[in-house]
Amino acid sequence: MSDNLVIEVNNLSKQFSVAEKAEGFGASVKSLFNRKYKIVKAVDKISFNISEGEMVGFLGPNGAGKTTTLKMLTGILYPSGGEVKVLGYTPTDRIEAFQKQISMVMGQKNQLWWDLPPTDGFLMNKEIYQIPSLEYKATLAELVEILDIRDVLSTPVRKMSLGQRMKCELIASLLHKPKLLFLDEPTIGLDVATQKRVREFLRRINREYNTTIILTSHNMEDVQAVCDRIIMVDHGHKVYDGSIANLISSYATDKYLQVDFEKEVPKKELQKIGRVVEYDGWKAVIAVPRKGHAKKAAELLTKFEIDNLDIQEVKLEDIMLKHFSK
Amino acid sequence: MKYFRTFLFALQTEMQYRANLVMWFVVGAIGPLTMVMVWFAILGERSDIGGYTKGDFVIYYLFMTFGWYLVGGEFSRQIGHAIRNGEINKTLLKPYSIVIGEWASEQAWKLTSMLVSLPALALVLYLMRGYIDWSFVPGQAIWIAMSLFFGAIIFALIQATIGILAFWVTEIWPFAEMMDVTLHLFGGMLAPIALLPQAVQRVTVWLPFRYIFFEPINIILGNQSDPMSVIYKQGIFIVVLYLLHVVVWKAGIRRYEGIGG
Repeated sequence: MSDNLVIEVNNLSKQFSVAEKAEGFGASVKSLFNRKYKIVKAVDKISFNISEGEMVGFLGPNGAGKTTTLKMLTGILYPSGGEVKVLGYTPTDRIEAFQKQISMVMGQKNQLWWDLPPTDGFLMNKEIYQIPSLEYKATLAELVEILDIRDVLSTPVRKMSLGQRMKCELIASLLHKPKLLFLDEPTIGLDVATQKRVREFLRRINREYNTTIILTSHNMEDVQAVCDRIIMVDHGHKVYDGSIANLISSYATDKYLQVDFEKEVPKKELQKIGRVVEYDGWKAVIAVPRKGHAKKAAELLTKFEIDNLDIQEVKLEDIMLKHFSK
Repeated sequence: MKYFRTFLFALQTEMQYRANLVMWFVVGAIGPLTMVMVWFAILGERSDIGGYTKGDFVIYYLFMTFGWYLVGGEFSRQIGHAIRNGEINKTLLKPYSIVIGEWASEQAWKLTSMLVSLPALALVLYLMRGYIDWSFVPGQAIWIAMSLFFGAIIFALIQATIGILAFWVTEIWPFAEMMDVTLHLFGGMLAPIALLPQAVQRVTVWLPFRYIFFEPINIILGNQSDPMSVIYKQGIFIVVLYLLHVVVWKAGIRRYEGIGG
């Protein structure tokens, strides 16, 4: 990772005007003549910088402002306020030199031609990004090899599985070797094996091409596997910016003791040790305060006949759940 | 080149749906035949109406149909749809114009349907051959080509601007329908403008619609003694509509809310 800043965001804001209407036919008629609007602050004075080669996860619940921020970084949306520079450009200027250095994969949108094989869509991107033929062939061969997708290259996109389509979307997005790759829910709907492959692929292109990756996902495994740093947003505000390890140590006040017993143990007994998170009689997960967790583990070992004991960090998912369900 | 690729892909897509081609053949014949039959009924035993004979009506509607495939279309709906459901997002990220892309894409189905319609139009021409007294004047070719080309630009700019209105109104189909109705009345698609009331004819001079189909067909039919003046007026409308298009696009994209992922 270098210190070259590729993204500089300062007090970035975006607000939408949303029409309000009460339920029912009468309200619909009324709204014809007197429509009311409310202002929704989707992003509210967010600031951060991202350096070249970083892999950053944008986390937050639905409506937190993740995708809106990404859209402002890529030039799809004009900010309502603040400043944003990406690779030294103002994204909404939509200058060709800027657009040729970025790419975005949206998990729920296709950029390939639905009725044609993906290779036709790749050719389209070759023309759009003016990729020299030799470079195009070499990059395509490499990406096809990494993602192991050769068998479906002549199949119309509409007949592909979701996983195959996502792999092809990734290839289409990377043919012009962007310096900056934005991914919005890239593993949504994919099976576990394909998710794993996509994550490995992202790590590899980051390693080999020093591609900066900005990812939004509700899948915490994506984030933990791919990102070095996370930015958490909630109601348009930035609530955390740092490493995953720091987040866990600063937000997680508990540790989990995962225990397998030799014989069945009553739940009541375990509740004397800590908060029982999972329990089935023979197995349990008990949350205990981070400080003094070793003592609690020792207490378990002395009180009960134990087959196995693991001390675990609280999962990122649990922190997110705890934070955003407040 | 990228837009030519778009055109080729759209053409490939058209070929995937063979049943549509049969329908275009039928549609190609029904349109001009219906209009010719209506005017034949109105003419009855009379030799002409407003200087238009039965043969002139046949030629008028055949060229109107053929000219629509060359000049017309409805890509405003595709642009509006892309804005409404957020499909435009992927084009805003790339060095690619959705307006030119949708225009190029539309040429594919227009070309396909035109080729399929040609036999139908030839059949209509053959059936009506007894009424036709028209000969092509080679000297007019350059004016015909220019007026059709400029007519196509005027049409495309209006379509593009209507499509972009989706940034404000979300659903543009009423505007697209309005454009169709206006073209039928003020553009001469329903009836030759020369047959409309004088007041309506005077209004059409100040609107771009008659310069899309009616004036080029007038030149084809040999009814326009000063084709240069048509080209000149088309040029003015192109400049005005282009400026309007740019202003509307810049204002629209600023208020875009980026619907969907």
